[in-house]
Amino acid sequence: MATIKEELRAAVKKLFDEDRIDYFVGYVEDYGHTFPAILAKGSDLSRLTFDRKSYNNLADFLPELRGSRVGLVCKQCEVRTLNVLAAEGQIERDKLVVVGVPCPAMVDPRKLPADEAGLDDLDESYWQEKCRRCLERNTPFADVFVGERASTPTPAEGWPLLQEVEAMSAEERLAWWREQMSLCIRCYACRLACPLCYCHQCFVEDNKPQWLDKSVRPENNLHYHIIRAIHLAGRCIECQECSRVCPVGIPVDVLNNVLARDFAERFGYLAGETAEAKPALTHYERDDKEDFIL
Amino acid sequence: MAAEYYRLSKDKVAELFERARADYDVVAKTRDANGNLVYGRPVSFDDVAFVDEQPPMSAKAFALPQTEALVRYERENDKIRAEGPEAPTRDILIFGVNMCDATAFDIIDRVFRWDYLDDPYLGRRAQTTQFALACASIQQDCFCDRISYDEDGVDAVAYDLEGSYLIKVQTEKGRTLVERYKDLFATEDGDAESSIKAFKEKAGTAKKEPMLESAKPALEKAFEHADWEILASTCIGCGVCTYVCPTCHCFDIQDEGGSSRGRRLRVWDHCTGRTFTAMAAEQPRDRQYKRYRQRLLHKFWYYPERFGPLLCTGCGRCITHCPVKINIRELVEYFGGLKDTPPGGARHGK
Ligand code: SF4
Ligand code: SF4
Ligand code: SF4
Ligand code: SF4
Repeated sequence: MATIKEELRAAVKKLFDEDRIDYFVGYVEDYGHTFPAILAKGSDLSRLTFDRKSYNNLADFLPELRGSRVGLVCKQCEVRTLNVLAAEGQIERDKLVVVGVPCPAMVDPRKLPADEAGLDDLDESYWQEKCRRCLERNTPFADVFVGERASTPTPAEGWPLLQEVEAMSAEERLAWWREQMSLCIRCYACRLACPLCYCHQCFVEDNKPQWLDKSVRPENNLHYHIIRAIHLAGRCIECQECSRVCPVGIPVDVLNNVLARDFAERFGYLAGETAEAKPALTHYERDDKEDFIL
Repeated sequence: MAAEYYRLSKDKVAELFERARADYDVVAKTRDANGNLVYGRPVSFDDVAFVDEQPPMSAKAFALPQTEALVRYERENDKIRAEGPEAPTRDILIFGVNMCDATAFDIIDRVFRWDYLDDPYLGRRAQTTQFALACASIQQDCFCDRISYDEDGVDAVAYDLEGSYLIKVQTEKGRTLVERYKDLFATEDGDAESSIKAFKEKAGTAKKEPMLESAKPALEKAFEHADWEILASTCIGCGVCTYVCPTCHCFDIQDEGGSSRGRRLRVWDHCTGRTFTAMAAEQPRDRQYKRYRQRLLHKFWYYPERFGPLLCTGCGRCITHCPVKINIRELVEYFGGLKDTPPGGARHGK
């Protein structure tokens, strides 16, 4: 039986051979890592893979490739990105070929064992947080599906860190965030790895006026994170890439996650759930709840 | 000075740490609030991680802080009061620093004492002593074995020879450290250099050909190579590789405050970012791959051209922590003619 890698390579070859795409964004393996690559007709497809280290949300590369016909691998938890990007006019959905995959759950890069021989067998104590709570492992509305469909997982209840933070008093929580913010080096990897932070000029880069001081201090760092969280309110699709890429291990996505949950509770809205859904903050419905508006 | 060798028995390391705290501001690897490894100020040896493992952030911030006030000023009526940068009040000892971090200081020094003497930086360096712990096994992304830099310039290095540490001292600052706590150190009678050589062979850190210095002639011809655009096309332009790097040292000067009080700051900056040097005119490299190329060529061509060694200690952090795992070693090998296949396989252009 063909492995998922073989199926994937064959499927991508077919897409190029049939001239359905100009580029393919996928994961390749080399030097012990799995990482994104942008491939074109004639590229070496023999390193394409999909494994437990296929972390990146590849939609991050789509706005740059706008105008071209692009194929990409999309995990279930990332597929909502495409709807948000399309609704916001950043991509042309009909120019995309989505390759769906059965997801084996990603291993938290901070818990990767030195010997990766048993990678496929690592249990949920090694997984990324989102994978512990995952409800469905197969990519919905994929144009091409490779591999054997995954069975329905049994999700873990709740997110321990989030519960811990929510149980804190307001003062404790502020102190906790201050501590986290004292670690931040403002490399902006969280913003740049985020597929929905695609602004060409981010407010952090403006200097006339300069909204945000460049000095790296907890107050300024928090300022950055709060504005970013607000800019992502009702848009974040919870792929957790911001936290995954943070070199100093700040769980940035706690902020985004709480806002996403507020949208679910207040508006019954899940960002990118359907292709038709209008962006929550720019769209008004007569029956929108108003009980919390002053 | 000629190198000197000593022995430090393993059960004396804690005592060395505790006693050094009387004379130095001791920095060592420890765990932060999230349990991640950082260089910090552990209050007791129980919190010290005297291990090989590399913290994501290097030790460079102790010589080159991410944010530093070069001038603070305050105006009252017609009087203006200005203060220069704050020097550390105590000497710093970096206890158990990784070799790839320790060697980096000497590399940055060359820039900061080149045509202009950078007093705040050089002052801190004069106050810093490195007590390095040599790694007992090389990790996946590390490539210090491919870079000529060795113990050069490191004040004191500890090699774990099972029962005890062999200590190699090479500078006056290193000698002061040993002199201060003399009773903890024994003299080394054996052939220390042979023991060190054997240690490195076993650790996998002994030098291996081809060394990356040899890539320079080919790199000089590769500026216009068509594959830069393809191989660096996934770079997202964050600051991770440069901020975690022990040798990257670019900074921006920023003013904060107003007419009555404020600060002129030096803040780390990075060539891979969209707004690098934008305050002067604009980022001269209009595409992301050109920004990545700048980082690589600065390290393996431009800096060595002027200063001799590479602007890289082979710590591998920029690979480990890169969100898209761009591999500088592989790219140097490829563009430097040491390897035929590009990392991730042949790709065709965007
Ligand atoms: S959340 Fe689900 S689909 Fe997403 S990476 Fe984890 S297991 Fe895969
Ligand atoms: S990735 Fe981490 S360190 Fe970098 S800006 Fe974001 S939170 Fe700060
Ligand atoms: S090489 Fe990697 S770490 Fe460096 S700027 Fe590009 S994406 Fe960021
Ligand atoms: S360039 Fe990369 S490998 Fe070299 S010293 Fe900097 S972070 Fe380490």
